[in-house]
Amino acid sequence: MQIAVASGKGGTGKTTIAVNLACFNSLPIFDLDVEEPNDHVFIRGRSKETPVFRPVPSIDTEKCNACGKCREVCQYNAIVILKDSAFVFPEICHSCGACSYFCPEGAITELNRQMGKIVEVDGRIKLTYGQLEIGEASPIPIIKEVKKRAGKKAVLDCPPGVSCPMVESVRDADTIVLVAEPSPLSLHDLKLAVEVVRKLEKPFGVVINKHGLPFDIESYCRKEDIPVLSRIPFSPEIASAYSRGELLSSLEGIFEEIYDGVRGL
Amino acid sequence: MRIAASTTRGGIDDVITDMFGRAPTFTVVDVENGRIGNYEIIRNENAAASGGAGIATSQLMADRDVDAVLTGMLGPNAYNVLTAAGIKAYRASGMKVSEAIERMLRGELEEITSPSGGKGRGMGRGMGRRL
Repeated sequence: MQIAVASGKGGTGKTTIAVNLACFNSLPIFDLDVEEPNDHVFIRGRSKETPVFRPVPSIDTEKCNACGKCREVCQYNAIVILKDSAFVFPEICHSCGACSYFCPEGAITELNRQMGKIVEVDGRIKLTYGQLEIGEASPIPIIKEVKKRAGKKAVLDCPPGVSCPMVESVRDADTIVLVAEPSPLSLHDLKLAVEVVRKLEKPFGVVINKHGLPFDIESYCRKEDIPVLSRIPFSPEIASAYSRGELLSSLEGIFEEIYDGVRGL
Repeated sequence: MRIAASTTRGGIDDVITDMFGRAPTFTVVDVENGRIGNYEIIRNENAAASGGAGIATSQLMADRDVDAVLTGMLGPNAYNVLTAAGIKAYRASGMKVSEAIERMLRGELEEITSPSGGKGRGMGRGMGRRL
Protein backbone atom coordinates (compact mmCIF):
# COMPACT_ATOMS: atom_id res chain seq x y z
CA MET A 1 0.00 0.00 0.00
CA GLN A 2 1.29 3.43 -0.98
CA ILE A 3 0.41 6.02 1.66
CA ALA A 4 0.62 9.67 0.63
CA VAL A 5 1.08 12.21 3.42
CA ALA A 6 -0.24 15.61 2.33
CA SER A 7 -1.70 18.66 4.02
CA GLY A 8 -2.66 21.73 2.08
CA LYS A 9 -1.02 24.19 4.44
CA GLY A 10 2.74 23.91 4.77
CA GLY A 11 4.31 23.43 8.18
CA THR A 12 1.53 21.34 9.68
CA GLY A 13 3.82 18.35 10.15
CA LYS A 14 3.86 16.28 6.94
CA THR A 15 7.52 15.41 7.34
CA THR A 16 7.16 14.59 11.03
CA ILE A 17 4.26 12.24 10.34
CA ALA A 18 5.70 10.72 7.17
CA VAL A 19 9.19 10.03 8.54
CA ASN A 20 8.02 8.59 11.85
CA LEU A 21 5.24 6.59 10.21
CA ALA A 22 7.77 5.06 7.81
CA CYS A 23 10.49 4.41 10.39
CA PHE A 24 8.33 2.85 13.10
CA ASN A 25 6.63 0.57 10.58
CA SER A 26 9.75 -0.22 8.53
CA LEU A 27 8.40 1.19 5.28
CA PRO A 28 10.53 2.79 2.54
CA ILE A 29 9.93 6.53 2.25
CA PHE A 30 9.87 8.80 -0.82
CA ASP A 31 10.27 12.55 -0.39
CA LEU A 32 8.28 14.15 -3.21
CA ASP A 33 8.67 17.69 -1.89
CA VAL A 34 11.43 18.13 -4.45
CA GLU A 35 11.58 21.90 -4.11
CA GLU A 36 12.56 21.60 -0.47
CA PRO A 37 13.22 17.97 0.46
CA ASN A 38 14.13 17.43 4.12
CA ASP A 39 13.46 13.79 5.00
CA HIS A 40 17.22 13.20 4.69
CA VAL A 41 17.70 15.31 7.80
CA PHE A 42 16.06 12.45 9.73
CA ILE A 43 17.17 9.46 7.69
CA ARG A 44 20.92 9.50 7.26
CA GLY A 45 23.24 7.04 5.62
CA ARG A 46 25.25 6.31 2.52
CA SER A 47 23.69 7.98 -0.49
CA LYS A 48 23.74 7.57 -4.25
CA GLU A 49 22.83 10.38 -6.67
CA THR A 50 21.38 10.10 -10.18
CA PRO A 51 20.96 13.22 -12.33
CA VAL A 52 17.59 13.91 -14.01
CA PHE A 53 17.51 15.62 -17.38
CA ARG A 54 14.86 17.20 -19.53
CA PRO A 55 15.00 18.34 -23.16
CA VAL A 56 15.19 22.07 -23.92
CA PRO A 57 15.54 23.67 -27.36
CA SER A 58 18.85 24.83 -28.69
CA ILE A 59 18.80 27.23 -31.65
CA ASP A 60 21.21 26.87 -34.57
CA THR A 61 21.69 30.58 -35.32
CA GLU A 62 23.08 29.75 -38.78
CA LYS A 63 19.82 28.06 -39.80
CA CYS A 64 17.39 30.29 -37.83
CA ASN A 65 15.84 33.04 -39.98
CA ALA A 66 13.82 34.56 -37.10
CA CYS A 67 10.48 33.59 -38.67
CA GLY A 68 8.89 33.44 -35.23
CA LYS A 69 7.06 30.11 -35.57
CA CYS A 70 8.69 28.71 -32.41
CA ARG A 71 7.67 31.74 -30.40
CA GLU A 72 4.13 31.50 -31.73
CA VAL A 73 3.71 27.85 -30.67
CA CYS A 74 5.41 28.26 -27.28
CA GLN A 75 2.67 28.40 -24.63
CA TYR A 76 5.10 29.44 -21.90
CA ASN A 77 6.73 32.57 -23.37
CA ALA A 78 10.08 30.82 -23.22
CA ILE A 79 11.29 32.05 -26.63
CA VAL A 80 11.91 35.57 -27.93
CA ILE A 81 12.81 36.69 -31.43
CA LEU A 82 15.27 39.56 -31.51
CA LYS A 83 16.88 40.96 -34.63
CA ASP A 84 17.85 37.88 -36.62
CA SER A 85 17.51 34.91 -34.30
CA ALA A 86 15.47 33.18 -31.61
CA PHE A 87 16.58 33.05 -27.96
CA VAL A 88 15.45 30.52 -25.39
CA PHE A 89 14.77 30.90 -21.67
CA PRO A 90 15.36 27.29 -20.58
CA GLU A 91 14.15 27.78 -16.99
CA ILE A 92 10.73 28.81 -18.27
CA CYS A 93 10.57 26.12 -20.99
CA HIS A 94 8.25 23.19 -20.11
CA SER A 95 9.95 20.73 -22.50
CA CYS A 96 6.82 20.23 -24.60
CA GLY A 97 8.84 19.99 -27.83
CA ALA A 98 6.45 22.10 -29.93
CA CYS A 99 9.15 24.55 -31.08
CA SER A 100 11.46 21.93 -32.54
CA TYR A 101 8.51 20.08 -34.10
CA PHE A 102 7.20 23.16 -35.89
CA CYS A 103 10.47 24.89 -36.84
CA PRO A 104 10.33 25.11 -40.67
CA GLU A 105 14.11 25.54 -40.93
CA GLY A 106 15.07 22.56 -38.78
CA ALA A 107 17.08 25.01 -36.69
CA ILE A 108 16.04 23.64 -33.30
CA THR A 109 17.55 20.58 -31.64
CA GLU A 110 16.69 19.42 -28.17
CA LEU A 111 19.52 19.21 -25.68
CA ASN A 112 19.39 17.59 -22.27
CA ARG A 113 19.48 20.02 -19.41
CA GLN A 114 19.95 18.78 -15.85
CA MET A 115 16.85 19.81 -13.93
CA GLY A 116 17.65 18.04 -10.69
CA LYS A 117 18.66 14.74 -9.18
CA ILE A 118 17.36 11.67 -7.41
CA VAL A 119 19.12 10.70 -4.20
CA GLU A 120 18.82 7.26 -2.60
CA VAL A 121 19.84 6.94 1.04
CA ASP A 122 20.52 3.66 2.84
CA GLY A 123 19.56 4.63 6.34
CA ARG A 124 17.49 3.14 9.11
CA ILE A 125 14.96 2.71 6.32
CA LYS A 126 15.41 3.27 2.59
CA LEU A 127 14.85 6.92 1.60
CA THR A 128 14.53 8.16 -1.98
CA TYR A 129 14.16 11.84 -2.64
CA GLY A 130 14.18 14.26 -5.53
CA GLN A 131 15.88 17.61 -5.59
CA LEU A 132 14.92 20.24 -8.17
CA GLU A 133 17.59 22.67 -9.42
CA ILE A 134 17.07 26.26 -8.33
CA GLY A 135 15.33 28.28 -11.04
CA GLU A 136 13.55 25.35 -12.69
CA ALA A 137 9.89 26.11 -13.34
CA SER A 138 8.22 22.75 -12.82
CA PRO A 139 8.89 20.05 -10.23
CA ILE A 140 6.54 17.54 -11.89
CA PRO A 141 9.13 15.59 -13.96
CA ILE A 142 11.28 14.96 -10.87
CA ILE A 143 8.25 13.95 -8.79
CA LYS A 144 7.39 11.42 -11.52
CA GLU A 145 10.96 10.08 -11.51
CA VAL A 146 10.91 9.56 -7.74
CA LYS A 147 7.48 7.89 -7.90
CA LYS A 148 8.76 5.41 -10.51
CA ARG A 149 11.06 4.02 -7.83
CA ALA A 150 8.28 3.42 -5.30
CA GLY A 151 7.04 -0.15 -4.95
CA LYS A 152 3.87 -1.55 -3.43
CA LYS A 153 4.74 -0.53 0.11
CA ALA A 154 5.73 3.09 0.45
CA VAL A 155 5.20 6.30 2.36
CA LEU A 156 5.11 9.35 0.08
CA ASP A 157 5.97 12.66 1.74
CA CYS A 158 4.14 15.14 -0.49
CA PRO A 159 4.70 18.85 -1.20
CA PRO A 160 2.38 21.41 0.44
CA GLY A 161 -0.46 23.12 -1.38
CA VAL A 162 -3.18 21.65 -3.56
CA SER A 163 -1.84 22.53 -7.01
CA CYS A 164 -0.06 20.36 -9.62
CA PRO A 165 2.88 19.15 -7.46
CA MET A 166 0.55 17.93 -4.70
CA VAL A 167 -1.91 16.36 -7.15
CA GLU A 168 0.90 14.56 -9.00
CA SER A 169 2.23 13.29 -5.67
CA VAL A 170 -1.03 11.84 -4.36
CA ARG A 171 -2.79 10.74 -7.56
CA ASP A 172 -1.34 7.21 -7.72
CA ALA A 173 -1.32 6.53 -3.97
CA ASP A 174 -3.67 3.92 -2.48
CA THR A 175 -4.61 6.08 0.47
CA ILE A 176 -3.97 9.57 1.73
CA VAL A 177 -3.19 10.96 5.17
CA LEU A 178 -3.93 14.67 5.50
CA VAL A 179 -1.99 16.36 8.29
CA ALA A 180 -3.73 19.32 9.92
CA GLU A 181 -3.09 21.50 12.93
CA PRO A 182 -5.67 23.37 15.01
CA SER A 183 -5.39 26.76 13.30
CA PRO A 184 -7.70 28.74 11.01
CA LEU A 185 -5.18 28.64 8.15
CA SER A 186 -4.76 24.90 8.39
CA LEU A 187 -8.52 24.38 8.45
CA HIS A 188 -8.91 26.57 5.38
CA ASP A 189 -6.30 24.59 3.45
CA LEU A 190 -7.52 21.24 4.79
CA LYS A 191 -10.90 21.96 3.18
CA LEU A 192 -9.16 22.54 -0.15
CA ALA A 193 -7.11 19.34 0.23
CA VAL A 194 -10.26 17.36 1.06
CA GLU A 195 -11.86 18.67 -2.13
CA VAL A 196 -8.87 17.42 -4.13
CA VAL A 197 -8.69 13.93 -2.61
CA ARG A 198 -12.46 13.48 -2.91
CA LYS A 199 -12.21 14.32 -6.60
CA LEU A 200 -9.48 11.70 -6.90
CA GLU A 201 -11.80 9.26 -5.11
CA LYS A 202 -9.11 8.10 -2.69
CA PRO A 203 -9.68 6.83 0.84
CA PHE A 204 -8.26 9.33 3.31
CA GLY A 205 -8.06 10.28 6.95
CA VAL A 206 -6.74 13.17 9.00
CA VAL A 207 -3.95 13.27 11.57
CA ILE A 208 -4.19 16.25 13.91
CA ASN A 209 -0.74 17.53 14.76
CA LYS A 210 -0.05 20.04 17.54
CA HIS A 211 -3.21 18.77 19.23
CA GLY A 212 -4.11 20.99 22.18
CA LEU A 213 -3.73 24.35 20.43
CA PRO A 214 -6.86 26.41 21.16
CA PHE A 215 -8.71 26.07 17.87
CA ASP A 216 -11.41 23.64 16.89
CA ILE A 217 -10.60 21.70 13.73
CA GLU A 218 -12.31 18.44 14.64
CA SER A 219 -15.89 19.69 14.32
CA TYR A 220 -15.23 20.09 10.63
CA CYS A 221 -13.92 16.50 10.38
CA ARG A 222 -16.97 15.16 12.24
CA LYS A 223 -19.36 17.18 10.11
CA GLU A 224 -17.71 15.92 6.92
CA ASP A 225 -17.47 12.38 8.25
CA ILE A 226 -13.68 12.33 7.91
CA PRO A 227 -11.92 9.84 10.20
CA VAL A 228 -9.34 11.32 12.58
CA LEU A 229 -6.58 8.70 12.64
CA SER A 230 -4.59 10.13 15.51
CA ARG A 231 -3.64 13.22 17.47
CA ILE A 232 -0.02 14.25 18.07
CA PRO A 233 0.19 16.45 21.17
CA PHE A 234 1.46 20.02 20.94
CA SER A 235 4.70 19.91 22.87
CA PRO A 236 8.01 21.77 22.93
CA GLU A 237 9.82 18.41 23.32
CA ILE A 238 8.53 17.23 19.93
CA ALA A 239 9.54 20.49 18.25
CA SER A 240 12.93 20.29 19.89
CA ALA A 241 13.51 16.67 18.78
CA TYR A 242 12.45 17.62 15.24
CA SER A 243 14.91 20.52 15.20
CA ARG A 244 17.71 18.08 16.09
CA GLY A 245 16.71 15.69 13.31
CA GLU A 246 15.53 13.01 15.75
CA LEU A 247 12.66 10.56 15.53
CA LEU A 248 9.85 10.70 18.09
CA SER A 249 10.68 7.41 19.82
CA SER A 250 8.40 8.14 22.76
CA LEU A 251 5.44 8.25 20.36
CA GLU A 252 6.27 5.00 18.54
CA GLY A 253 2.90 3.53 19.53
CA ILE A 254 1.02 6.43 17.96
CA PHE A 255 2.69 5.82 14.60
CA GLU A 256 1.88 2.11 14.70
CA GLU A 257 -1.71 3.12 15.46
CA ILE A 258 -1.75 5.50 12.48
CA TYR A 259 -0.51 2.69 10.20
CA ASP A 260 -3.26 0.40 11.49
CA GLY A 261 -5.79 3.17 11.00
CA VAL A 262 -4.64 3.85 7.45
CA ARG A 263 -4.95 0.18 6.51
CA GLY A 264 -8.49 0.19 7.84
CA LEU A 265 -9.64 3.14 5.70
CA MET B 1 11.33 58.09 -31.59
CA ARG B 2 8.72 55.73 -30.16
CA ILE B 3 8.08 55.58 -26.43
CA ALA B 4 5.88 52.99 -24.65
CA ALA B 5 4.52 53.66 -21.16
CA SER B 6 3.04 50.89 -18.97
CA THR B 7 -0.47 52.08 -18.13
CA THR B 8 -3.77 50.93 -16.69
CA ARG B 9 -6.54 52.20 -18.95
CA GLY B 10 -4.10 53.85 -21.31
CA GLY B 11 -3.88 57.31 -22.79
CA ILE B 12 -1.67 60.35 -22.57
CA ASP B 13 -3.22 61.43 -19.25
CA ASP B 14 -3.10 58.01 -17.60
CA VAL B 15 -0.64 57.30 -14.79
CA ILE B 16 2.33 55.01 -15.42
CA THR B 17 2.17 51.70 -13.52
CA ASP B 18 4.82 50.06 -11.40
CA MET B 19 4.33 46.75 -13.25
CA PHE B 20 5.88 46.15 -16.63
CA GLY B 21 5.19 42.58 -17.78
CA ARG B 22 1.70 42.53 -16.33
CA ALA B 23 0.66 46.10 -17.09
CA PRO B 24 -2.90 46.01 -18.48
CA THR B 25 -2.11 48.38 -21.38
CA PHE B 26 0.75 50.24 -23.01
CA THR B 27 0.42 53.75 -24.31
CA VAL B 28 2.74 53.93 -27.32
CA VAL B 29 3.64 57.50 -28.22
CA ASP B 30 5.50 58.76 -31.27
CA VAL B 31 7.71 61.74 -30.49
CA GLU B 32 8.74 63.89 -33.42
CA ASN B 33 11.12 66.82 -33.17
CA GLY B 34 10.86 66.75 -29.40
CA ARG B 35 7.06 66.97 -29.43
CA ILE B 36 4.41 64.43 -28.55
CA GLY B 37 2.73 63.24 -31.73
CA ASN B 38 0.26 60.40 -32.33
CA TYR B 39 -0.30 57.77 -29.73
CA GLU B 40 -1.92 54.37 -29.61
CA ILE B 41 -3.21 52.30 -26.67
CA ILE B 42 -2.41 48.62 -26.93
CA ARG B 43 -3.85 45.95 -24.68
CA ASN B 44 -1.22 43.77 -23.08
CA GLU B 45 -2.38 40.22 -23.68
CA ASN B 46 0.46 38.97 -21.46
CA ALA B 47 -0.97 40.59 -18.32
CA ALA B 48 -2.58 37.29 -17.31
CA ALA B 49 0.09 34.90 -18.61
CA SER B 50 0.85 32.05 -16.23
CA GLY B 51 4.56 32.63 -16.69
CA GLY B 52 7.06 34.54 -18.78
CA ALA B 53 4.96 37.73 -18.87
CA GLY B 54 8.05 39.95 -18.69
CA ILE B 55 9.65 38.12 -21.61
CA ALA B 56 6.54 38.24 -23.79
CA THR B 57 5.86 41.90 -23.02
CA SER B 58 9.47 42.80 -23.87
CA GLN B 59 8.99 40.94 -27.14
CA LEU B 60 5.87 43.05 -27.75
CA MET B 61 7.98 46.20 -27.29
CA ALA B 62 10.55 44.92 -29.80
CA ASP B 63 7.83 43.94 -32.28
CA ARG B 64 6.36 47.46 -32.06
CA ASP B 65 9.78 49.05 -32.74
CA VAL B 66 9.74 50.84 -29.42
CA ASP B 67 12.91 52.83 -28.60
CA ALA B 68 12.26 53.48 -24.91
CA VAL B 69 10.01 52.14 -22.16
CA LEU B 70 8.62 54.15 -19.24
CA THR B 71 7.67 51.95 -16.30
CA GLY B 72 8.39 51.12 -12.66
CA MET B 73 9.99 47.75 -12.07
CA LEU B 74 11.67 45.39 -14.51
CA GLY B 75 12.36 41.76 -13.62
CA PRO B 76 15.61 40.19 -14.77
CA ASN B 77 14.13 38.42 -17.80
CA ALA B 78 12.35 41.53 -19.05
CA TYR B 79 15.46 43.61 -18.40
CA ASN B 80 17.67 41.22 -20.38
CA VAL B 81 15.32 41.01 -23.37
CA LEU B 82 14.94 44.81 -23.54
CA THR B 83 18.69 45.28 -23.26
CA ALA B 84 19.36 42.69 -25.99
CA ALA B 85 16.77 44.43 -28.18
CA GLY B 86 18.47 47.80 -27.60
CA ILE B 87 15.44 49.30 -25.85
CA LYS B 88 16.15 51.70 -23.00
CA ALA B 89 13.95 51.80 -19.90
CA TYR B 90 13.26 54.71 -17.57
CA ARG B 91 11.73 54.80 -14.13
CA ALA B 92 8.51 56.80 -14.27
CA SER B 93 5.85 55.02 -12.22
CA GLY B 94 3.27 57.34 -10.69
CA MET B 95 3.79 60.06 -13.34
CA LYS B 96 1.32 61.02 -16.03
CA VAL B 97 2.40 59.71 -19.45
CA SER B 98 2.65 63.21 -20.98
CA GLU B 99 4.58 64.57 -18.02
CA ALA B 100 6.98 61.58 -18.00
CA ILE B 101 7.73 61.94 -21.71
CA GLU B 102 8.50 65.65 -21.30
CA ARG B 103 10.78 64.90 -18.37
CA MET B 104 12.47 62.12 -20.28
CA LEU B 105 13.14 64.43 -23.22
CA ARG B 106 14.69 66.94 -20.80
CA GLY B 107 16.92 64.14 -19.46
CA GLU B 108 15.31 64.23 -16.03
CA LEU B 109 14.31 60.56 -15.73
CA GLU B 110 16.44 57.86 -14.14
CA GLU B 111 17.44 55.17 -16.63
CA ILE B 112 16.89 51.60 -15.37
CA THR B 113 20.32 50.00 -15.64
CA SER B 114 19.77 46.84 -13.61
CA PRO B 115 16.81 44.56 -12.95
CA SER B 116 14.79 44.90 -9.76
CA GLY B 117 16.03 42.63 -6.98
CA GLY B 118 15.25 38.92 -7.23
CA LYS B 119 12.63 38.08 -9.74
CA GLY B 120 10.04 40.33 -11.28
CA ARG B 121 6.65 40.93 -9.75
CA GLY B 122 5.12 38.27 -11.91
CA MET B 123 3.37 35.10 -10.84
CA GLY B 124 5.88 32.95 -12.68
CA ARG B 125 9.30 32.00 -11.53
CA GLY B 126 11.47 33.96 -13.92
CA MET B 127 14.93 34.09 -12.42
CA GLY B 128 16.56 35.84 -15.31
CA ARG B 129 19.34 34.98 -17.69
CA ARG B 130 21.61 36.90 -19.99
CA LEU B 131 21.00 36.80 -23.70
